Amino acid sequence: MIDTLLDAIGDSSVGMFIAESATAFPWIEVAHVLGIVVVFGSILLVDLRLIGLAGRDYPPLSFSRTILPVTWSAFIIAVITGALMFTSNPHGYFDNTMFRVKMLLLVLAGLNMLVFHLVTMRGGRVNDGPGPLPGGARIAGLISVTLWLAVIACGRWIGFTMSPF
Amino acid sequence: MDEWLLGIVDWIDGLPIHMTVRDAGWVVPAVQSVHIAAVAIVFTAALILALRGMELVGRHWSLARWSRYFRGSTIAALWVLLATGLVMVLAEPERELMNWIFRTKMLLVIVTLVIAHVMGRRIRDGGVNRPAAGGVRIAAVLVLLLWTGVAMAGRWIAYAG
Repeated sequence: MIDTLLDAIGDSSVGMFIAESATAFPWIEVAHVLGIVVVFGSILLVDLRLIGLAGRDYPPLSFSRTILPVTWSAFIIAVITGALMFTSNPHGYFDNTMFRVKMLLLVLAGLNMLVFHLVTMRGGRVNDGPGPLPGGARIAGLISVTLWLAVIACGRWIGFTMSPF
Repeated sequence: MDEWLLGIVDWIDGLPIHMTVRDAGWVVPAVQSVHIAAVAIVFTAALILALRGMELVGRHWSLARWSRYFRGSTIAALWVLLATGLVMVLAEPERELMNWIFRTKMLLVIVTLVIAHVMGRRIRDGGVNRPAAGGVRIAAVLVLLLWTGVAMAGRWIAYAG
């Protein structure tokens, strides 16, 4: 079942084009790296604000509200370009351990964000005033930085454990 | 210049540290991961400053306040980029030094650093509470575009030479 799906992705015109073109993959990869760089960099700003290490005179909720649209825009670019790279060699990526670990880490980062929004932020314990945030917010920030650093490392390792050409 | 750089490539190839770094397969990807994380710090700072100049993000703080906020972390990340970049050159001197994209990237880095430095000073000299002049807002976009070029060149080193 999954093999049929992977075959279909690889045999699609997009997949064939990226696999055969000499320049498509590097250009898509450039956009992917720029995407992930902004995702990590902007999440780091929000995380440092949550942990209380930087930007403490900026109201925390306003800080998230102004930075996170940048994060999401970059994340969409990273997902689209990541999917495009995947089409060039679906079996290669699907079978790659580092790729699987990276996907798992992305799910964990999403869960961390969900727990933060649904549990920690609830009940008005996080207000938009200055000063340190509750422990839960600081832990969420720490987990987030760690997970995203691991995502970057896995991404780099994918490139070393399989060659697209 | 080629001959001079070839001499350096040969010299690095003979260093014991080159062999150690090259033969330990994990060093290059690990160092590249740190390099990318440091790029994230520098690039995001440039992006937020450019967007703040356009009044699109972070309006609780002036451009000067944002510039002050990013200054320390950007300088620290630039040192990390230099250090990790040097390790990559030590590991694969020919891949980097004999590659015209690598050389273009280095030139672009120097130009960007000079412009970013002058821009940063002018933004911060303007004072925290006064609105930034149009010139520095345009400069902020230019610096962002230059860093984008640097990052593009960085990834292309792997593909062309």
